[in-house]
Amino acid sequence: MQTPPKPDRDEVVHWLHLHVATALSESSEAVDVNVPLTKFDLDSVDSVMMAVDLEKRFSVPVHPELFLNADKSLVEVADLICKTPAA
Amino acid sequence: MQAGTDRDAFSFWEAVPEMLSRTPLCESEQTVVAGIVSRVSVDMARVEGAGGERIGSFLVFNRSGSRRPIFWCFNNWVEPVLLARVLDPEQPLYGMISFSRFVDTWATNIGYMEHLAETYLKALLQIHLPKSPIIAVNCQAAAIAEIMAIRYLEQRGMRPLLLVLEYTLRKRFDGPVFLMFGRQSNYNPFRFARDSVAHSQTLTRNASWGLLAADHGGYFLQLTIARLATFVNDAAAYFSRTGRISSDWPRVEAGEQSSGMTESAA
Repeated sequence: MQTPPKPDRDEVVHWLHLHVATALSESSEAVDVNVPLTKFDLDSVDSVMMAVDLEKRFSVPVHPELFLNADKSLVEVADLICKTPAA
Repeated sequence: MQAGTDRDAFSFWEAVPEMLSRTPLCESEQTVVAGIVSRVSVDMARVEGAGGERIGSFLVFNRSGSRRPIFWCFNNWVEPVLLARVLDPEQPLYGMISFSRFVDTWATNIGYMEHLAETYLKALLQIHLPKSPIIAVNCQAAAIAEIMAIRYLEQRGMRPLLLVLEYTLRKRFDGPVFLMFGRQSNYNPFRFARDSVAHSQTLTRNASWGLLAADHGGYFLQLTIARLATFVNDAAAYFSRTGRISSDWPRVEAGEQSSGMTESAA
């Protein structure tokens, strides 16, 4: 069976950016993709659902803890995800 | 609740009644509870896209799995989503949550537990189950599962497996019990002088224990949750085969056996 292609990093950053802005009910301009996720007012449900939706969208395994203990920025998260083999 | 460093694990649960009260709520309390139930339901809707389906009060995963279902009372809706990802795919999981996030005090939370247990039990009893289920819980909500297990046995005449994480029993339950603790946790009664095995034997005739190499609050994190799932899967599989919990356990994970754990379970 052919392995699905790895997701495009910029596309993942864009998706995460919009997802966080939507969860926070903010404009995307108000969400800095280079600051740690802990700076945003995301709760554990937001975090877990972001991981679940990201898995579905890009067919990559994403553990929710990536967002639950979020000392990483959206760009750093995207980098990690794009290194993960596709499901 | 905060775990003090030198506090006896048993003392965390002293406020939980040892007897069933069966006291109905007054009208104002019923109004408060209805409001909380509504908020719990709204909160559940936020995680429905994570693979679970809403069935009454429950968020259900792997509904068609072949194993006996687990009805687990969690602290929040994130925990069942995380646990369902690592449980055996044949293991149905019916998630429910306590009121802990919706009330201001521990005393209030305890005050509503009996009523909440009745509400969840009523929903459980509406589901056709050919064999008794597993009723599970973690930490502060444990009294809810304890009451549900006792009442299920009373009403159905079948013994469910009561599976608890970080809780020492408070009520007598004449059925199988599997108690799990973090080895480093202050809620682990085996770290303290009182005889935990003897204590449990006064309240149930078939108990066993599992000690995870983990601390309180870390059971649903990435590394520990897989090991927690192994304990749960094994206990569920054994109970499914035998209707009991294994007397060959206790199980102690990675590390020295704790004092008091050498004795075989009742």
